[in-house]
Parts: sequence; C-alpha cells; structure tokens
Amino acid sequence: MIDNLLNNLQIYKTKWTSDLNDEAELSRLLLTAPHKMPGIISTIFGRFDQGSVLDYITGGMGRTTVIENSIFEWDVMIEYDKAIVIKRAVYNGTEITANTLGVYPGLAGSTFQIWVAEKWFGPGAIVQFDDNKFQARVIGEPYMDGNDYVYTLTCVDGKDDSFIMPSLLLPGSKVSRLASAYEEWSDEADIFNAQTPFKLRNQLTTTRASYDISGDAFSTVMVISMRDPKTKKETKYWSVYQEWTAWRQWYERIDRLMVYMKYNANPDGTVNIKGTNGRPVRIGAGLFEQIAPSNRRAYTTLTLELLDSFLSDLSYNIKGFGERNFIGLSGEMGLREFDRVLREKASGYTLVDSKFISGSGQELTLGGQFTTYKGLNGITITLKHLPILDDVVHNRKYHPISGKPLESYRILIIDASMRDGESNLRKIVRKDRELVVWHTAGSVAPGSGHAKSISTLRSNAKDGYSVHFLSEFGVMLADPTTSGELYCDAE
Amino acid sequence: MQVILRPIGWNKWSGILRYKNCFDDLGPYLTRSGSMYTGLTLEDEERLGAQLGIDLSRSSTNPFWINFRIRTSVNDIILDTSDPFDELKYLFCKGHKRVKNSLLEQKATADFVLINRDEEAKVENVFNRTKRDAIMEFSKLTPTEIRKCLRLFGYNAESMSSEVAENKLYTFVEANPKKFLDRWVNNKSREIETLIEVAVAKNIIRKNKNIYTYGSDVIGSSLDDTIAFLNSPNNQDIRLAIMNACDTKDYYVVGEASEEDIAESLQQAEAPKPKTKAKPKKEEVDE
Repeated sequence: MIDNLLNNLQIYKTKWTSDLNDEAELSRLLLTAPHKMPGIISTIFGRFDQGSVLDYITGGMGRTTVIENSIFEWDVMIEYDKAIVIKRAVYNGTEITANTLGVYPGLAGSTFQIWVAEKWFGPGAIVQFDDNKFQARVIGEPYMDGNDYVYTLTCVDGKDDSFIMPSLLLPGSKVSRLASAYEEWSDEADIFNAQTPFKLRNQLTTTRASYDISGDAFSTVMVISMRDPKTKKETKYWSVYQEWTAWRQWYERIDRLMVYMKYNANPDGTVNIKGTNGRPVRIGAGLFEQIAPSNRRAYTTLTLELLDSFLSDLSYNIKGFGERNFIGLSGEMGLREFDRVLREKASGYTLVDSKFISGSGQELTLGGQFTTYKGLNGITITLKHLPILDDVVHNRKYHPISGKPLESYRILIIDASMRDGESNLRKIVRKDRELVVWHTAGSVAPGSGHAKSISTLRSNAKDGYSVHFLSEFGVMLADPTTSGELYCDAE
Repeated sequence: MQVILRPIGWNKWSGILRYKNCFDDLGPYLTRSGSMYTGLTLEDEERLGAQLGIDLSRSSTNPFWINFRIRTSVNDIILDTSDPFDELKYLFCKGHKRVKNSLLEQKATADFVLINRDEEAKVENVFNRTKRDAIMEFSKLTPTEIRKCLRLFGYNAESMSSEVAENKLYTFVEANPKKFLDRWVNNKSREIETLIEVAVAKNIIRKNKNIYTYGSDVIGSSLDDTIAFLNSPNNQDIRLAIMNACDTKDYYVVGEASEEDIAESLQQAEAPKPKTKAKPKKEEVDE
C-alpha cells in the first residue's frame, strides 16, 4: 500500500513509530480504537512467533560453538585420496612420448619409471592409470630427481604378455592408488594421505538494538490483557508488551542476518567499513554467501526430476547413505511447489483414503501436505518454513504469474547432519556475548519501578528507561559442498 | 563457429569459483509477461525445433524448457554452433541475464562470459584493415597537411617542428584510424574546417558554446552552419578576410628553432635567478 494515498474510506495516513514507545503513541490507540488491538497483537505474535527458525535449529537445539575470538577458521575436507599427474615416464632408457613406437612398458615383469610431483604412494602400493584395467605395483621407495619423485613400477599380474599402454604414461595422464599388497614377512607398508583442499574463514557480526520506555508508558495499564503465546504469561502493561515485541523483532533480525549477511573483511583480515568511533564494523558471511559456490539451480516450475537430480548432486559429496539428511528451508510458495510435485507423483500410486480424507459426516476433511521426500540412495529431505522469505517488506521482487515474492519460492537446502559428533550447521558465538541485554535507567527501572528516594542512583535524567540488546554471532556451514539452493528465477 | 562459455562469478568470501563436484546450472527464467526466456526468435524456434525434433515454444509450461539447463562448473564450455544443440545453447546464453557477451561488457548480473573467437577476430580484422588504410593515407600527407590535420584534431602544430608534428599525427592515426579517415581523408570540407579551427585559435572567429561570430556578425550556430556559411558564394568576401587575418596574425614560432633562439634559451636557463625577498619573522612583525 502506498502510504501517501488516501481514499474515501481512509481517515488518516498510516503512521510508523520507532525507538520511543510512549503513552501518546500506544495507549492513545487503545483509548480511541480498542477494536484495532487484536489485529496488532496477532500481527506481532502470530508472525514473529515463528520468526526465528534458523536460530532455533542452530542455537535453540544446542548446535552452538563458543569461541573467544571474533574470527574463526575451519578446513573443508573433501577427499582423502586423489589422482596425481605423471610428469614423465621412462622404459628401458626410452622416454615415452606421443611419438614413441615399439615400446611396451612393464612387458614380461620388467620395470618402468614415472616422475610425479608428490610423494603420494608407499612401497607396495597398487596403482591404476586413466584406464583402470591397467594396474601396476610400486617397487621400493621413490627417489628424488630435482623436485620430482621417481617411482619404479611393474605390471601387477606379472604375465609375459602384459604391459601398460604407453598412451597411459604420457605427461599429463594421471595415476591413483587402488590399495596395496605385500608378501609374507614384509617390512614395507603403504602410506596414508590427507588432503585439505581449502580453508574457510568467517567472522562474527555484532548486532545491536535498543528501545525506550517512557515513565508514563511504564505504568499505563491496558484495558485488555495479552498473553505471550511462547511463555503463556499474561500482561496488562505496555512496557511488557513492548518487551515481547522487541524480543520477537530481535530474533527475526538475527535470522535475517544468519541468512543474508555478507562478509566484508579483506584477505588480510582488515575491514574497510568503520563505525562512528573509528573501529571496524565486522560482518560475517551468511548462509547464502557460504553456499554460493556450491550447487545452485534455477527453476521456473519445480519438477520431481529436477528435485531428485539436485539432491543427487548434493549427495555426491556425502559418501555415507545414512548421512544424506537434508533440511529444506523455504517460503510458503516453495512449500506449495514441493507439495504439488509430490502430490503429482503420488497420484500415480493407489493411496488409502485415510491419507488425505479424514473425519466423517459433517466433519469430513480433505487434504494434507507433503513436507518430506525420501529419494534414492538414502536421501531424505524435510522442508521447514522460513517466514523471512515470505516477508513482502524485504522481498520486493515478485513472481510474474503468482504475484508472490520470488524469494518465497527459494529452497535453501542444508545438510544439517552430524559429522564427527558435531552438526554441519552451527551457530558460532563469542564467549558470554551470544546475547547481552541490559538497561540504562532514568526515572524508572524495569523490575524496581519508579525511583522513590533521593538516594536512588540512576544512570540518566530521562523520565523512563532504555533497554539494549547485543549479540556477537556468526554461522558456520562446516562442509558447504553438501548444501545448495533451488531458486525460482524471473526477469 | 566456436564459442566459449566461461564462468566468472568468483565468490568474494571464499575466493572460490565453485566447490569440487558442485555445479551452477544456467537455466531459463520467467519474463515479466510470464513466458519463458529462451533466447530464440520464432524463426530459431521453428528451424532448430525441426532439426532437433523438439517443441521449442517459449510457453512457461513447455516441459523441454522447464527441464533445460546448461551445467557449468569451473571449466570452460565450448559450443560449436555447427551442431544444432550447441547452437541452441549459444542462442540461449547470448541474451541471458547472467551472461555477458564480451569480456569488456559491464553487466552487474553476469556470472558467465561468452567468448566468441570468430566475432572477436572479425572485429579485430576490421580495425586492422582500417588502420592499414589510414596509414597508407597518412604516408601521402605533406608537412603542411600534417599541421592542418593536427589542428583539426585539436593540436596546435604551428609551434612544432616537422618531425614532432609527423610523429604526433602518426601516433594519433595508429590509435584512432577511423577518426582520421572520417575527419580528414573522407572529409570534403576539411580545408574550411581547418580554417575555422585556426581562426578560432587566433581569436579571429569567436566561439561561444556553439555560436560562431566574426566581428559582430553571427556566422553560424554550429560547425556545420559555419562551414555552410563560409562556403556560400555570397560570403566569399568574409572567407577571404578571415584567411587574410589568419595569415597576418600568425603564430610566433613557425618551423624549427634557429641556433640563435637555442643559444638565447640556454643563456636564460643558466642565468642566476633573482633571490626571493625573505619573509620577515613573525616576532619582528609583532614588534
């Protein structure tokens, strides 16, 4: 709605308030238009009550790591083994090149040498070439030639007519480990390799908010009482009502940051943005930024084929079938698309009516919604509603056909399984600073009320008090390669 | 024709283009009207559709486009447009909002660049041909023409030696061959344009924004107007007057400096500089 436009039915323009919640703004509404109150209350509590999904599935479920620094790093282990490049190969003193003819490396149990950049195999290792039908065994320890390691190999089957195709030994070809094999009483052994392809670094974000309660509003009693749906407590005071509202807004903001914040440090760790006191304003990478180099796919209409192949891509980096559990965070339209796809698929099966039809007589009910899909090879995805994606205030790009926010169609698929006893998705917080709440009191202090004595010490002369919220936190997707996003794309 | 589709969307946080075994699929998107972006014209849809045996209509419910994607990772994708399916991919990429068509193009939404070797070679060949033509024309210029030409491009060549003027113009022609051909070689009114430029430089014709005045008379409200005015048979007396004024009100140095001039300059350089008057100290001023 455009606030500046007034039609015949509108009496005055919509008014926004921020920071100060005084008697004039809030209780006047109650006195003049008490019928509007339930609408406001349901808006605040109904929407905000579900507003902190991410905070709930991380910090709320104990998936929090406490650190004592504002920067945190971790290694992403993708694979323990790899194929290494052959730089050079020699058989019987003849270098193997693309033009080499009449050379049969390893023929009749003979040996040949390969030059590689890394000491990747131990003695006795069985290696495979680009065509894995061709195998060879490493003889003894490699020796160094300049910066390269030279391995002596022989064909693994030792037959008179066996040899390795020269084209598999050309520079640029690769060789990888199959396993190893030894004779009785052997004192040799293969080696283990570890590979850390990349290290990731993120930083904590300090977020703050505060609100003021005037002395008048503190003691102004509402005509109706309100119940906090979370704690079930009731109140008739504006100040308490404002406190609830602030908490809910606070957690919604935390969720938004966890999803959308963008890393702002330079490679050397410095930050260009400075606050008013000259110190750096650090912002960490949110979930979308962390999964940006991972799997992404645009869709216009979600299909089961698309969903299935996307989940298969995500699972490719998870070896264990039992670990392929994903959480899909999506807006309402994404949930609807997901349900439609599964419903279409289910229409091909004969379902017992009780799945979609329940009750009897005048209480007959039709319907149900799919939120979980079990795919092949142990893949399971469960969708969870992330209300911030539906918010039309923050998501102003619309779907050309449905008119709903495009963001509402987005499905953020996170591998939230446990790895080595820790969750893949974690909230990272600074020690003792996950949530810091305090107040600065004037004439009134929460809890103790109005100051009644000259000896009462307060921090300022304001007729009221201020409440401050602070949190220093970040989010970490330990292995971002197993998460991704499906997004509906439009012009 | 071979075209390369290269990913360029580096993630600023991780410094990584794409994690291992991960893919970014370039797919169709909905247009504002609700149809599907395909990058194909109606003629392309029919022609390629017939060749591939696929319905390529751009309806948002067309199953081909719903499932269509170009799978990208960190490596280049080479498209050979002689293959109909590769041509389809090429046309799809060409207008896609996430693809820019040249490394030089500025496109904020681009995650990929389409590198067309043939097209780039064609553009380069056209430039090189123009350059060769321009240099051939340049070699025909006399020293006087070189000075006039430089004047046309905004340089005052009157105070330059012939060698410097030739070198200056050659450098300009090499960098801007088309401009040289357009403004000098193929410009029929270059003589009168040069005259106007010289007259403006010598303050014989005054130029205020686009208005050209001679004395108190406005002779044109643009360069074209002024050229037409001076070319008009009725205004040849004014043209002659301007030419005479240009000849008489000459520049101070013409051609190479004489030995006497050089000697005088050296004497001036070696002569001791007059001492600057020392500033009085602050304390003295106060007293």
